[in-house]
Amino acid sequence: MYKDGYKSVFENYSGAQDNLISLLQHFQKQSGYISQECVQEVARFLKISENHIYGVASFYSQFTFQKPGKNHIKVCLGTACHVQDGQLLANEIRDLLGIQSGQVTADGFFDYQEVACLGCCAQAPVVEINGQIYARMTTTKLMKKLSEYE
Amino acid sequence: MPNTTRHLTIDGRPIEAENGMTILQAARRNGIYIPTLCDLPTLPPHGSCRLCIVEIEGWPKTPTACTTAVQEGMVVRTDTPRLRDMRSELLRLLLSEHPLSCLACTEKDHCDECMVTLRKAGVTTGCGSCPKDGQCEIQKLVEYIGLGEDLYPIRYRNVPVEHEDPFYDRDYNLCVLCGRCVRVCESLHFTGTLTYTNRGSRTLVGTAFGQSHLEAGCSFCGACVDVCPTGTLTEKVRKWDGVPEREIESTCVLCGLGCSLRLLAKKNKVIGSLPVEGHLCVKGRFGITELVSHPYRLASPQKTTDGRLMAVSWDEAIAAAVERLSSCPPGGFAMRVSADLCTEDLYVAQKFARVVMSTNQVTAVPQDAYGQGMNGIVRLLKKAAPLDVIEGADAILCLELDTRFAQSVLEADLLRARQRGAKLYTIHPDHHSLSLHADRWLQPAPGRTAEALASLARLMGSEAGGDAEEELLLLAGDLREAHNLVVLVGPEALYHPDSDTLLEAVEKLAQLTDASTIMPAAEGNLVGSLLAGAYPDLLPGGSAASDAGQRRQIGQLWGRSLPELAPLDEPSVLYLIGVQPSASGEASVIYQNIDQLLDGQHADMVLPTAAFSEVNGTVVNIEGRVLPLRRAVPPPGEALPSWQILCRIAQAMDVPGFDYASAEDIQAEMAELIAGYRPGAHLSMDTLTPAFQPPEPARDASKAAEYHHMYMGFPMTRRVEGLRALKR
Amino acid sequence: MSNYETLRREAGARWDALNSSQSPLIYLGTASCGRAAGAMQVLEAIRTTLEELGSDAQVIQVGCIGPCYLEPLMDIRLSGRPRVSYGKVTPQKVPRILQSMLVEGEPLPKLAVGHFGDEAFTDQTGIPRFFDLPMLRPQVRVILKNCGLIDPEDIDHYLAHDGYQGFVKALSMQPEAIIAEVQASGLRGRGGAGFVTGKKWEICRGATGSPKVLICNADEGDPGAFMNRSLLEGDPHAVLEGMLIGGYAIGASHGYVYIRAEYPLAVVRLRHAIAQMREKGLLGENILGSGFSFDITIQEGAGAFVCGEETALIASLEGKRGMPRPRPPYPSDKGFHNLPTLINNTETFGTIPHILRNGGEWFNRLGTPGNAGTKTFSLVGKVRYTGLIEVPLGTTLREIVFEVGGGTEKPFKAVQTGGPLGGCLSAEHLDTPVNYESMQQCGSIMGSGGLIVLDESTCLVDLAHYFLSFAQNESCGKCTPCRIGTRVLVETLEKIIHGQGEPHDLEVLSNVSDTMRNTALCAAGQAAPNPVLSTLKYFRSEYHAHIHDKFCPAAVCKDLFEYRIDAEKCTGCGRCIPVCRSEAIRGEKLQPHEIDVTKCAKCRACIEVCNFDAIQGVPVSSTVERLDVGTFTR
Repeated sequence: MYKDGYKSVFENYSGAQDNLISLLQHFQKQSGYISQECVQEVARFLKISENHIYGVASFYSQFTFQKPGKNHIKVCLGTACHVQDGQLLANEIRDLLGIQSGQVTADGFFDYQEVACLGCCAQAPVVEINGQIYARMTTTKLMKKLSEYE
Repeated sequence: MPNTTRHLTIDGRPIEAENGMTILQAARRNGIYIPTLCDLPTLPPHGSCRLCIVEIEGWPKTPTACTTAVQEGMVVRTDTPRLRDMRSELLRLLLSEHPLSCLACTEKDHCDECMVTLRKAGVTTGCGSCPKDGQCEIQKLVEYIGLGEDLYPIRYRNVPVEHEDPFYDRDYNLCVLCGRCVRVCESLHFTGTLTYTNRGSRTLVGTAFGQSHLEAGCSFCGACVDVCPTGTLTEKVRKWDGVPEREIESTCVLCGLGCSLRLLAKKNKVIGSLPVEGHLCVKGRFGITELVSHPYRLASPQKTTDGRLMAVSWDEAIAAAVERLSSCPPGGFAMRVSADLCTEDLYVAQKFARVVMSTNQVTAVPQDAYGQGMNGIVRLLKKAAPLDVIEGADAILCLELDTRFAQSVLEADLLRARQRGAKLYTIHPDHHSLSLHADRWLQPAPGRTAEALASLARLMGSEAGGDAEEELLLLAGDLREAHNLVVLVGPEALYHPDSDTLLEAVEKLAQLTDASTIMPAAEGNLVGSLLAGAYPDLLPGGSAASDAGQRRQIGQLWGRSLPELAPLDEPSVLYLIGVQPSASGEASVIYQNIDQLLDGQHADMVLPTAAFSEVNGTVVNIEGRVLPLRRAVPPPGEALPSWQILCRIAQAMDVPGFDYASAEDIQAEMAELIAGYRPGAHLSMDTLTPAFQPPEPARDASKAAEYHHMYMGFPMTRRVEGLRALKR
Repeated sequence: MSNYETLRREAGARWDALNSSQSPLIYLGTASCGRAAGAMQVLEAIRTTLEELGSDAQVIQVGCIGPCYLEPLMDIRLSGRPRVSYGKVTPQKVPRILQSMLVEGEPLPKLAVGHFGDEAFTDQTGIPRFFDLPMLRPQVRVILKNCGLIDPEDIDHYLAHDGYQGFVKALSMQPEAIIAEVQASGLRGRGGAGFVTGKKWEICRGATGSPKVLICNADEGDPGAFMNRSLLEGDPHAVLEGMLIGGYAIGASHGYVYIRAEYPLAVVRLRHAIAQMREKGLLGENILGSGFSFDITIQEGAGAFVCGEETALIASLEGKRGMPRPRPPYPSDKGFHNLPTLINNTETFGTIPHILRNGGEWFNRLGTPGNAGTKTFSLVGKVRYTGLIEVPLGTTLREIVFEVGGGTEKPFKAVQTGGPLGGCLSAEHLDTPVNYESMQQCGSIMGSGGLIVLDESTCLVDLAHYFLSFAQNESCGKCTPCRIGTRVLVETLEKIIHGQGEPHDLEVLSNVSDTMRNTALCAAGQAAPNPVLSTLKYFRSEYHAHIHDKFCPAAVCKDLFEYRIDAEKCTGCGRCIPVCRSEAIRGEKLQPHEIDVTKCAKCRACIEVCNFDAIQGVPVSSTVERLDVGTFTR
């Protein structure tokens, strides 16, 4: 009926359209992105068109459609981080990795995202690497941190 | 009822409106114009373009007329300096994302005369060569609202124009994101093909992963193209035809549903076809223009002289036909007619055979196509339910019905019913348009549908489950619970060699569950051909040809006794109307059709006839409704309606009773034999008799798919470029 | 309600046992802000050290107590002594503090930032009371009462602090009486619009349609604001109790928490709290035997600011694109799946239990007329004391920025309120009492409570550009003025930032802003130009400097300044030379250094290390001057 790895997930859902975002979140977390196959299977389960699902998924910044990198870098560009020079951190990373927000380096080692706010405004500016938030970042500290991953 | 009426003032005019109406609706009803872009009367308010802002006394902001309900005592102003300013500003914002050289070009006043910029500025930059020029709603808005001095810098999206799909092109560089296409697609196909993608200023209209519409499951109903206010979505065939001169309301004959349509005409050419309301399927929306304006259309009669077809005058052609027919013995004549012809043509054709040629050998194509199933089809038609039973259904069972391309108009009805809570079940061997939405999809092996259905009917009849497959048991269980079941028999199911088994099972199932049945057949005038008696076994009115009493009665009306049923000898003259000649055969062939013979086909005479868009007449759809065909353009060259050709031959043979002056005359005569026959009537099909003799040789099942999409014997894919792409 | 009494008694007993235990207690703030500052590494160090010391001390993880600038915060309570708080704790400091406290009983007044005991302890040790710290003294803590003091993952801690008392009281009342109590409190929606909460409840209760639905809006999308996150991480039960009360009052049987997925810890704590509620019979069928049934589902948002707008939030909950629809109908009439739906902000729900417990009258007295009660704010930016604060409405901006926040290091310039839909207020507004109306009158909004303090090093043109870029990316794209207006504003601001601004551009900015304000579909689109309008109004001179002088006074807009070293200030320490990756700084030791502006990438690495404030932004020099400086001799 459904492809491997989907059926067991669908069993926990009612199949109403309300489930769509939760389902997409599940698969985004599981595989790091929303694949074409995932959209197909979810479409079959919820009985709505793949196009509609894509329309919903592409609205929300949480969902991505390409395979993520091995390591994930997020630079917070919330207001507090912005006024504390978060933009400079972003510039540094873009220069260093040679990619824009939402992209993955050619070698697949890093993916990079600029995010709206991580909610750690009192510790601004912050950078998140592989889920760990680093407070009061500076370009120098950031470069040092990243060099640990080379 | 005083509490449902609201009194308000719009622009100083006192206005009455019903409670729940929006200001925009009230204004429109009273002929007050409020500019809008995103609104479509057929869809719920959206409120995205914001152009319909109005001032309401006592309201702090400027609400949109399309989303604000009328209230008692409201004082509304639709055109004030403040509103004009704001609208102009909104329009300038819109135009910063819509190439506007059509508005700004300094040479635009001379564009028509000189066309100097036609090639300089490409289509995408939107100068006068934008396909929507003259029909663009933005142009109209600019005319009404006016633009200020300063325009914002243009942001050209620079997305590739999407040409790869059949029928229409998409240039999202021109899109103003009014969302009409997305909404209409959603409302007709329920989460269909078009969706908004991304958000913010990166919002666009598109499909999943940027797939082509073909890949994305589009049914090409064209509703999106119809509603697009700009040149973003444009029909390929019509792209450069400009504004149509006339619109003629007629009926589509490309399947048995008989959708109303508007034929768009310019000079003597049909340049497009649009739905009257709702939508058409791909054949009706995009197939007609190419079909009826094809370069292979016949324009003059031809006669074979020394092995070659040569154009002749009508007089010569008629004389030659008379010569052949007079020397033909009654047992040696056979006539084959298409069920795409109007009932008038079919009636005159069978009368011609029975009166002029004294034979019952007139056969409409469906008999070849359906063979054994013919009597089953007649029995189902006798009980055919109107299409709107779908609205009241709580369960719907579809048999090999794929509503993606043909019959896509039914899909909207089915999905709307499902949205409302009805259960949708489908039996189909392959993946098809309904398999995504269906609550249950029974998938028999190819060619085993009839068998599966017969088992289902057996299961339903007996309480015992037996050793049936689980899926079948579940489906039977579901159907038992239905109170208001509707069974739809898809056209492809009718072509199976064992269609008689299938139809019997359908009958049994319908009987057991008290279900309504609908049989959306592929032929445009299947019912008309039966009612007209265009079959050896059937007389006008649908009674059996073996019925001597009926024969006598009809003979009295016609002033000529009708021939008895006699077996057909090897015919010496074959008269084909809308039917292809077979490759072999000794008979002399009179070929009467809209298009030239195909390569390798032979006929002694070729008589050019009119397509459905070129005649006045009627067809009868599968509900039994008599629907009008109206002449939108004259037939090409010397072509004539089929009945007129037959009448001219009959007259030349001095046979009385063929002196009709118009289609109405024929209708009047038909009404004597087919109770209540007149345009607009909803006929009872109870008079139809399942009197078909089983056909002799078994049918060629491989031709089934071809029958499905034919017009006048020609596969539509040979005439309509885009349909070829759909075949895959 | 005897069930509840039992629950409460047991919880109280556990709490008392904990507090009277002989073994030391270590409280560590491990909310997201604490974790960002390194709390988990500190936790690791604490565990290792305790093992080494062979101590039986208990470690309790608590939420954020407020002064985030002190994070990671670790409190230690020795038996019979008050909790002593240590700020900016690093793993390196842990052994020393633990050794001193646990082994020697010496509180290390130099490292301690405050204690939770009485004056006598201060006299004895010289450590100030925690709530006497300059940042905390002016605050009135109602909503944040428990934050940082109890273990948010232990429902008994909440129960021991009057938890669910408000709900139990509500159960004994008629729903109408509850709504009347909430009305009497004067509580207004804490999400920012300030609609009277009790009124909203009344409308929803009276709406036809059943069942009714309750939604807690925890989609805290304002960048720079984290009140809801802190509350949910520090005291999730308060919000859940508020939802129970709301559900009972309007007659709903199901509630949703729509929470940002960017707050994973808050989600975990909520889930945990909900599971505990269920265990204790505080959620599900027939709660506490009252006949009232209620359940709560957590729906994570998927990253869209606009989903804070209630109709967009509902669309998102229904699995659709989060695009707002025109109102009316309002959600309280036709909301989630067309059912009457009550949507309140997290903080609103968090406030409700206190109102029920202490009475609406009590809450109403806390604020000012028309603006009742206390409100939490996230005070961030260039103030000395950043963190989560709670003050009565009507407190002036000056009190918040200069007393609670301790003022700025560099001269104060502005305070940005209300998030991306708010505005920037200047020094002239400092004496404005903060309330819904005053903020609006100044051209800003109260919003959900983000306060970002800006000093001279912030460029307000750049900030306006920042907010509008945010608005452009987060616009749902539905209506013309918001989708295109934000883009035109961003592009115009970009021009100005890059030195290509023309005087006419200011007119474009205000025209487009006006159009958006008047014609956008939803509140988000209507308020999106606020950052532009307010900066145009109060900081027009900065726009002029960018447009006419081609200079960014705050040295932020890269094209409109260059860095020079002030020879007077530079000591020639040489620290800046190795950090410059452009190799743009040269200079002899102890001699003033110089920057080659043709090489300088303006990455600010040198500024980060300079201790003498010697590197400053100056107007861009002419080409000739540039060449002059650029030709170094080795």
